[in-house]
Parts: sequence; structure tokens; C-alpha cells
Amino acid sequence: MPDLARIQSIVVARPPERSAAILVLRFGAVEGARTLLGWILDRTPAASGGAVRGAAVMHPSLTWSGIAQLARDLDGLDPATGAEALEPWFVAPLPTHPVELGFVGESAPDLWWEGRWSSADADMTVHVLAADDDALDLAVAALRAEAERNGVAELSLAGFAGGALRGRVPSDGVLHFGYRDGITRPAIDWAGEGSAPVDFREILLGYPSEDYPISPVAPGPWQDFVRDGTIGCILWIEQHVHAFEQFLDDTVAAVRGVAPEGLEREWIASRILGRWRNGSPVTRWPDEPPAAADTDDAFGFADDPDGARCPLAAHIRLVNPRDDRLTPPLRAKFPKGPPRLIRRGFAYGPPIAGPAPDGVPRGLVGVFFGARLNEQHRSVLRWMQATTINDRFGRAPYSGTMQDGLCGVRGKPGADPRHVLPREGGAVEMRLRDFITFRGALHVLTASLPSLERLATGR
Amino acid sequence: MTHALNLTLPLKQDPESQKALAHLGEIFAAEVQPKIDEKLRESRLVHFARVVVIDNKYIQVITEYEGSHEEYTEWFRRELTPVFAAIFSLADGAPDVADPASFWNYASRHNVRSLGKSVDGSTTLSGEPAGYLFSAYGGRTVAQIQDGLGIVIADQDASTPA
Repeated sequence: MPDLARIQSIVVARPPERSAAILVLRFGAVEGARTLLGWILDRTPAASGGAVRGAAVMHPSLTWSGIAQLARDLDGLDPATGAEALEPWFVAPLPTHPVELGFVGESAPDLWWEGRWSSADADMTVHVLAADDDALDLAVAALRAEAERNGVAELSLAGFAGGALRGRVPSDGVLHFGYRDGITRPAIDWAGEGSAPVDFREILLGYPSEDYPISPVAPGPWQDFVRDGTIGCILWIEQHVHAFEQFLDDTVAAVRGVAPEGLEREWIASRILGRWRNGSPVTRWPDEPPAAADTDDAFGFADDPDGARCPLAAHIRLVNPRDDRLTPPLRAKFPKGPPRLIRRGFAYGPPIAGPAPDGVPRGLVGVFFGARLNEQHRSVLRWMQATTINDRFGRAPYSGTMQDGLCGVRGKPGADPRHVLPREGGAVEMRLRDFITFRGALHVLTASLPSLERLATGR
Repeated sequence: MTHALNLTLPLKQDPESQKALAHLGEIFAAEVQPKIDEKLRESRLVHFARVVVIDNKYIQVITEYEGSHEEYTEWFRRELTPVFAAIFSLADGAPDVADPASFWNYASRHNVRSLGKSVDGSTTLSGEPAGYLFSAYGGRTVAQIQDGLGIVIADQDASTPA
């Protein structure tokens, strides 16, 4: 069973720090990389707690390229064997089938990271968290100095002050589109005792079972190495908030007489996400949001199979279908229910000041943890870009090429740009626009502390 | 979009493996075929499927199906584990069918690309442009065709998923 003392704290518990940055690093000489990793590990808290948490903490993660370099001389960790044993999607430096994931057009991988570098260049990421921006500045400066001392290069970004992905976890949970976020948090049974509904195997590697055939399936050094680690997917997502607000303005006429008078804009926004902006689910509050936000997450979609209250392509219904009836192949693939992910991201950029576009970038740096890259992270990305999860999409007024109301990349070839709200007398249809652009993606192993220690010491 | 899978595996040539191959041929109609039939029918993803042996040197699993390779290869593996286990046991270098990563890697390496060039953007498992695949009905899906013909596939599992 998992041992919390081996797991990085960020995986198990939401960090208390609100200021955050992620530095992306490229190794020089292996010895320097080992020294830097050891220095970082002195600042990495375990999930078991115990040690006093400093002004800032650091959570290192490695790409396959970084692992292969540091594991080369370690007993039993032959990179060639590891490349076959681990998921091929983790080993591949860039996404295969990028179009299916929405990585197309302005979101295409060759435009990522401002065109300055490629995901394939990255060896390690360090997620730095601090109580405030001053403490974050100090921690990042210290990390940079140590990296430079050890010949490790930073892959920087010009669009962020300070050159790295950086932002804040909003204290009220409200992100740029104005929705309250973070209400849904999977309750993980970390002890494996049935104390919570979600099996720890959704998140942790190294404990494969028939229901969770997590790579490496075969016992051996690589399975031991990844145990108590998790796969992190870092997604830099620019959010086009002005375009979203303009869409709401422009679509009011389409819902007049359907939405409550005077509430049209917010009613449309609620049907795009599946929650009102205060976080209350539309399945429970179809006509208007309650005065006090309803954050009770115990709701489902099974009693709304046609999407009369919550549209089938609403964001929260695609990324977490709950009790929705999936297609037979997907039910077979997910015998314990749809995939779940842990989220540890942060927002960047200022809030919008008014309706006029200001040209200022803003968005979200998403950090998602799960055990299976293809079955969890990439399934959710695919479902956002093509709604084939539910047989109901195969019948009018729906189609299987519709997309997530909020996160669909409309330039995907063949995408159906409609957002459909079925109702008696004819469905209401909205014509969606691009509200997000993927600006970069990395997949990393947020490894266990003992495995990182092995890489740092070379033993 | 419809994809072609031309999985082509070199068969072991030792007498024991060749005897097992002959046995597979003998039991295929009665024991293997019904399992394939049941799972592919309920999927509403697969247009056609067959298993072919060439001169006792190669065995092919050939299908035309739709949807994402990365989404559905794992479904094939999970639902047809005994079938693939029987076939893989006859093939050189085949992995443990219980291992999704090995299954994907092996299938990717042994999916022979058709000649020509896909006209609808189909790709191979490894993401390269796929070869030519003729479709008489413009890439319509199995579900669209069945619905159009009034073919109803009963959902075997009426329970609500967890």
C-alpha cells in the first residue's frame, strides 16, 4: 500500500501557498543535474508532513529525457528497458495524434512555448510554491542560481515577467472566465482501506491491478522506480476572456424566450460550463443560481440523459461524466468509473478590466496528476475535442464531432461548432468560438522522494 | 473517419507452435468467433474484422474501424484478451497481452501500412499518414449506418456505471 512519506506532498494535498511558478530546465552534465536535484529535494515536502514547511517549497518532476539521462548508470534502470515498459505516450517527447487532443492550428505543438523551445528539450520541471510573491521571487532566484552553478539551463518564456510560467491560486477560487473553480476534488483512498471512493491507483504508479493496468505492468526495477509517483501533465492554456464575454453578448438573442428574462448572459454561461458562475450546478439549479453558492458536489447526470438541464457538451459533463452512461467500449475500459485527475494549477495574468479587448495574455497553467497518461489525461483531452463518449451524441440534434463548450479547439478538422440545448419545440443552438488556446504541454513523472533521491545520488 | 488495421505477425515455426496454429483453426468458428462477434457488435465501432493465416508463416488481424487508435486499442486489448492471447502465443516476439504498453508497442510495429495515401486524414497507430482505404459510404460511422438501416443493438449492460 502507498506510504505517504514517499509521496510528494503536492500530489496528496492542495498546497497552502498561493504564489506559484514552474521552471522548465534542461540538463548539462549529469553530475550537475544530480547536484541540483539533491538541492531541490531538501526543499520538497513529503505527503506525510512532519518537517516544518519553509517560506517556499519546490516539487521536482522529470520528463522521460531527464529520467533516461539520470538513470543511465543506476543498477537495473536500463533506459532502453524503461522505454519499453513505461507508457509510450510518456516516453514520446511530443504528442502523437496531436489533432485528436486539440493541438492544432494556433494550439499546434510547433507554436508552443512561444516558439522558443520544444517540449522535447525539457528534462525537468520545478513547481515552486510560496506564501507570497516576494517569497516566490527569492525562491526562484535561489533555484536559478543553483541551476546555473550546476550547468543546468532554464528554458525561459518572454511573455511572463520573470521568464517562467508564473501566477497565483486565487483565494476565492474564481478563475478568469468568472467561474468558481476547484469545487470538484476526487476523494482518494490513499490508504487502500476503502476510506474514500476513488482508488489510489487512479493517481499512483507502481500498483497495477486488473482494473488499473498501469505501466509498467510487469514487476521489476522500473515498476519499483515509478511506485508512489504520478504522471503530471502541465498544460499552459491561454483563456480568451473578452472573446467569451463577447460571445455571451452576441448569443443573447438566440436564447431569448428560453432563458429567464434578464438572465440570458449568465444562463448561456451556465450552459457552457454546466455550473453557474458561482459554482452551483445547473442540474440542480436549471433556472437560476441560488443566492448562496451550492457547492455540494454530490450530483450526477444520469437523470438528465438528453441534456435538458445540463447540455451533454458542457465542460464539466465531458471532463468528468460522473454517472453519465458511457459507450460500451468506454464502460469496458473504465470499470471503476470515468477517469479522475488531481488538479494543482494556477491562474496567470490580470483579470479583465472592462469589455474592450486589452491584448493582455491571461489564462491557466494546469497541472494534472493521474497514473495513466493515455487512459486518463489524454482521454479527457480527446473527449473535449470530439464528443464520442456517449451514444446520445450519435442522434439529432447532437453529433459525435461536437466539442466541449468552453475548451474545444474549433479549428480541429471536422469539428461541429454547435452547442446544443434540447427543448420541446426545437433545440436551441449556439455557434461556439475559440475561448482557449493551448500554448504548451509537458508530461512529467512527479516521482517518489526515494526514487528522486536515487537519481540525485546516482546510487 | 474509418481506419484500417493490418496487424501482421510472424508465426513461430517450431512443431509445437504449428500444431497450436492448426488447433486454433479447428476451434475458431465454434469458440473464438462468437467472442469476437459479441464484443465487436456491442462496440458499434468496427465495420469488418477477420483473421487470416498466410502459408502458416504469418497471421493477420484485419479490421476496419473508426475512432481514435489511442482511445480504442486498449478496449480491443481488454475485451478480447483471450483472443489476442491465443494469437500472440503463436507469434514471434509477442508480448504479454495483459500489458497495455507492450500491446500498443507491438501492435504499432506490426500494423502494416496499406499502399497509397489516405484521403480522409486517417493515421497509423504511430501517427503517420495512413495508406489508402476505400469506403463506399463516405466514411459514415457504424452507428450512422445501423441507425439508417434500423438495426438496433441491445446494450447488454443495462446497469448504471459506478
